[in-house]
Amino acid sequence: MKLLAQSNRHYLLIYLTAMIVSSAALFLGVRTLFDESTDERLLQLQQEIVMYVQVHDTLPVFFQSTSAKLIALQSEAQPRPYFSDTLLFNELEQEEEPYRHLRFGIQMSGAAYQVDVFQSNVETEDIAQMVLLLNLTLLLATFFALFWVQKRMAKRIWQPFYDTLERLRSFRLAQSEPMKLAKTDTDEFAELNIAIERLTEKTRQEYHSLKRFTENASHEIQTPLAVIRAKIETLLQSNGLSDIQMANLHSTQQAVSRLSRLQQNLLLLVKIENEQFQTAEKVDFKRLVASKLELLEDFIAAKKLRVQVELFPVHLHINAFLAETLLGNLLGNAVKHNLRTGGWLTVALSEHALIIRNSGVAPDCPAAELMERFRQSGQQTDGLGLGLAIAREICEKYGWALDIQFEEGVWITTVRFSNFR
Amino acid sequence: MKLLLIEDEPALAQSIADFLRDDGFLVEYAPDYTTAMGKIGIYRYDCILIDIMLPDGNGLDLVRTLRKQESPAGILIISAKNALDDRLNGLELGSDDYLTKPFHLSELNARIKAILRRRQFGGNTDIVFAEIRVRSGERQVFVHDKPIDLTRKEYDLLLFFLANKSRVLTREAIAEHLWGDDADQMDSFDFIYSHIKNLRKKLTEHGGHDYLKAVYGVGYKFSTAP
Repeated sequence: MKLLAQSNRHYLLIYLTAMIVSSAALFLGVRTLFDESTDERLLQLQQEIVMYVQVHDTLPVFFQSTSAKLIALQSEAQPRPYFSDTLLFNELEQEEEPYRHLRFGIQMSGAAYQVDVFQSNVETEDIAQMVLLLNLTLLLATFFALFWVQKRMAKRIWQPFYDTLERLRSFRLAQSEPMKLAKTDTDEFAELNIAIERLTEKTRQEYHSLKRFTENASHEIQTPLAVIRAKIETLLQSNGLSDIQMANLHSTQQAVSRLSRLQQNLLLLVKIENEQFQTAEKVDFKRLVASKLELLEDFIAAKKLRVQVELFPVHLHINAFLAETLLGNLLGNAVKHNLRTGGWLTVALSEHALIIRNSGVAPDCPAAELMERFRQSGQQTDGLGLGLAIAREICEKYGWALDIQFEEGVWITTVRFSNFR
Repeated sequence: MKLLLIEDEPALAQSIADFLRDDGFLVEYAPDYTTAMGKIGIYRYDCILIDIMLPDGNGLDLVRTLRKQESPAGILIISAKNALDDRLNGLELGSDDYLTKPFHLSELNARIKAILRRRQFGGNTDIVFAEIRVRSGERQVFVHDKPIDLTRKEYDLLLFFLANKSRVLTREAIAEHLWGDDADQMDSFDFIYSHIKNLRKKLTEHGGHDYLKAVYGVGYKFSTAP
């Protein structure tokens, strides 16, 4: 719920309550006031009637008006004067109208009479209702006017906030420029912007220094590795080494190579995670699959694999190096982890998915777990265990789904391109 | 052939220089950008090996300078960065090749020789060793002047051996030369064995000597002593 809607909801509640309470009070107040003056008029009438009766010993005869009525009945009792509200039928208007009523006793011609005087109340009601209506209209009008003004103003006042939000949305850690926010006159927003600018700038710089560190570290590690490798190679060329010495040098060489590849692959993973492959171009997947298979032809031939491909022309917007790495890893796996001899391999490429099927040996763990880093199935020890982790990282970067299954002697590797273009 | 080696790591530079001198190259050495710039200004080289990250400058600037001078020297970039951008930048600026650290010295040697062939003879040069003659422009191999039919991998393999005569080539070095980055995905050593077997067979069938010697547990060697 929007901030404005939230505060409006509260305003609405308070306003409605105020409207009801104030209208009711006004209505009752006006009526009480008018009732009091009507009562005074009735008491006045009573006085006049009593005085008239004392002088003339008969009732006055002016009581024909519609606003006041007089009814006198002979009665035993002498009631104490009291007021009440009542309805009387108006002959002229042909409807019942409200009247204020005063009953009192009087002595006339030696007999006791009960006198009822009525005073019309219809104007009081009308006025009270009019006041009520006016009040309600006024309050409602004010309410809507305020509501409208507030909405207009909120849009203007909150504009810097929405600007900031938009900038934050498009902020990337990898961007080379600091995030600049628009100037604002509102103190709160200005403070917010300063805080955000400081925070993002600090994070951005930390990120960049980490990136530099990773790259430098990689460089620094590769150089001694290169030295070790060169020295071993020089040693290997020297004459008079025994077979055992040669073999030892060779295994050292292998370990160095492995360390170097491991480090390069980890660096690649880190770089993908850090979004350091920003460039993208239209990559012809059909051609790339074909050329990768060509590179593998030696291994395919040696294992006597039957290869079947069904490739539709697919162009995807992706970083070229990552595309090559992805296909190299997946197709390489399909060949490497195939049967030692006489297996098969099929590759199907459509605009929706790349599906690689190949014969192979059952894994000793659930197939999907092989996508974890350093996770390998039992017997293989020469691999690094990073190929699938890298493939998965690349797929995740582009919002594709990588899935690996093993069913009845068949490995099925699927890359689903959700955002094919 | 005169080479300039620009590399800030002295231990590595020493090994590279020794290896190349053994092959008859004249190797000069510059440990930093300034020295390299000075040498480039004064002397002429057939091939220049440039490390990109130097303590006082960027090797790519050296490539730029050399190409601006229209120097005929071949340029090979050696770098610890295998970042694609650097590779592309380097090649776009006019370097002939790019090698990522750590590399095999034998690979470096083969690459330098390939660059020199391309640069100096437009690729149309014969590599001759005893009864074997390779016309590198046409990728054609003759034994006793009779053409023999080699597959692409066998041809690459032969050239790699000829560039590194009398050297022990480890199986890893051979695999990387033949299959590049894909080599580490494969249990490729069996394939090397079968390629070498075929190559040896084709050479000896036409009356050539058997120069390809196995070095037990390590790799192979093109032995010049028959």
